[in-house]
Amino acid sequence: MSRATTSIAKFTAMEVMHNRMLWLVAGAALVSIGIGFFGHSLAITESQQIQATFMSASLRVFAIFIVCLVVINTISRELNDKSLEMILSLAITRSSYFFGKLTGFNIVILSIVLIFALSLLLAAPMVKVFVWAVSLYCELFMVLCFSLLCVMTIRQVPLAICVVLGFYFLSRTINAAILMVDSPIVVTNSLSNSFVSTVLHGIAFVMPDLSNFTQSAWLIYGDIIWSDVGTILLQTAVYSILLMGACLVDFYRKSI
Amino acid sequence: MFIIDPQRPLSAIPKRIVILFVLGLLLQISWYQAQSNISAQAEKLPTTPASGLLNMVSMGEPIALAKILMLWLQSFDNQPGISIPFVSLDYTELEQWFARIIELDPESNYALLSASRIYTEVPDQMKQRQMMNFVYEQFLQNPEKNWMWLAHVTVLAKHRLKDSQLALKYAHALADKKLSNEVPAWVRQLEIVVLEDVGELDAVRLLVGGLIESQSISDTKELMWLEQRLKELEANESVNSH
Repeated sequence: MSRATTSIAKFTAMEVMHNRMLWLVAGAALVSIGIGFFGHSLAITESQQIQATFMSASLRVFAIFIVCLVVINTISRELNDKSLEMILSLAITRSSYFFGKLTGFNIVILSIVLIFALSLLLAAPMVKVFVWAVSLYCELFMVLCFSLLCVMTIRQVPLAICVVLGFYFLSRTINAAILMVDSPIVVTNSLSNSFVSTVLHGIAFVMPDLSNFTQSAWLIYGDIIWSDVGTILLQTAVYSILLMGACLVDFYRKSI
Repeated sequence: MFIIDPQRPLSAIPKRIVILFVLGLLLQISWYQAQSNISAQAEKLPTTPASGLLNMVSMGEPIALAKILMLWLQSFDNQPGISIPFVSLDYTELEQWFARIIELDPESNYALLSASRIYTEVPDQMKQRQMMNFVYEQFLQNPEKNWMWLAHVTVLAKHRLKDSQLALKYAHALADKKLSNEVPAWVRQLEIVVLEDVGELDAVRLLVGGLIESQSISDTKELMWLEQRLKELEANESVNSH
């Protein structure tokens, strides 16, 4: 890693931390602990499982929102302040800038995952939380890459946030939607049905299957299936390469 | 540390802005007050959505959705400002909800615990039978996991419904299915409890004691709840004997 990349990564991480992100993450962890105890207090059985499920589901949602907002807000500010132009006027390549930003945000998501995993230890055993945390990290890394792509391409904060959240929602639901369309209650063989099915299958080709990521079931039921973890790591590697490639293509095409 | 931005004094705010703010605040408080006076109306259980739709809504977290739905269903009798007895719930709809919850989270025992231990406690034999039948059907689908709940409804059929034939049918089902060795032997011998004239309190004691001994129940809150139910039975029995 070049010195320029390291410096950009360091200052990106510092900037985010100085913006009280850790307070936000700690607050989210506390709210999640509260949600967990709320579920625990309502249940008449499986109370520990309900606590772990409520905590893991809420932590995941909080993590996605925080990463999406932090990345889009930070890059958007840099674009508006013209700091990007200033940095690129130095002897720094666009790829060094991109990978510097990516590494900096990567440090940020690692700290989010660490804090959230520590709070989840209140409700689930360590090995299971570790696997959950690895999967959450993978999910967040893809959201980070997609947020970078969106903010650099779209440049409008509200629109970029909506696109990232839409992408996330679609990635988690695309398989369920395909199942629904492919096995309708009333079999019609209509043109519209096959059209919707083709479109959904087409979308699924370019979407990661996030429905297998960061599952509460790992925390509460049975043993961890390590082959699932391997699939998740592989899916993350494949899709991250695609997203990073798309980001760099767009970034190099931009006239700044 | 938080950095506090320098602020202008309160006197810098124009009076009309302050009036607008206070007016807004008062209107909101009055609005809330007016709303809370509206009398609550009992709502019916909504129709169950299709499994595919629930899977989609869960966003890949069917277990989290199942747990949320279960707690929502459990507290359906306590709607804002009103308490509905379980007996006035639509049990056919309730069954559908349980079935959906089990589809979402097949490992969980929560739905069957509620079906067999909570929703069978209503003073309506038709509804009791409906819930018992639901538990029986679930047992037939997955005997290894659901034997515990059928054992409970067997005792209920004998002592609450006073229907020995139904209790025998359930006890036969428990004996007939080839359950693994992990299932305690007494479960297969429940027919004896049904055939012999064992009182309800003793039968429940036998059942709960057996479940605790075989470590089929480990959740502390469930144990506390069972203990409470046993005490209630004991109190009822002593009232009846006096």
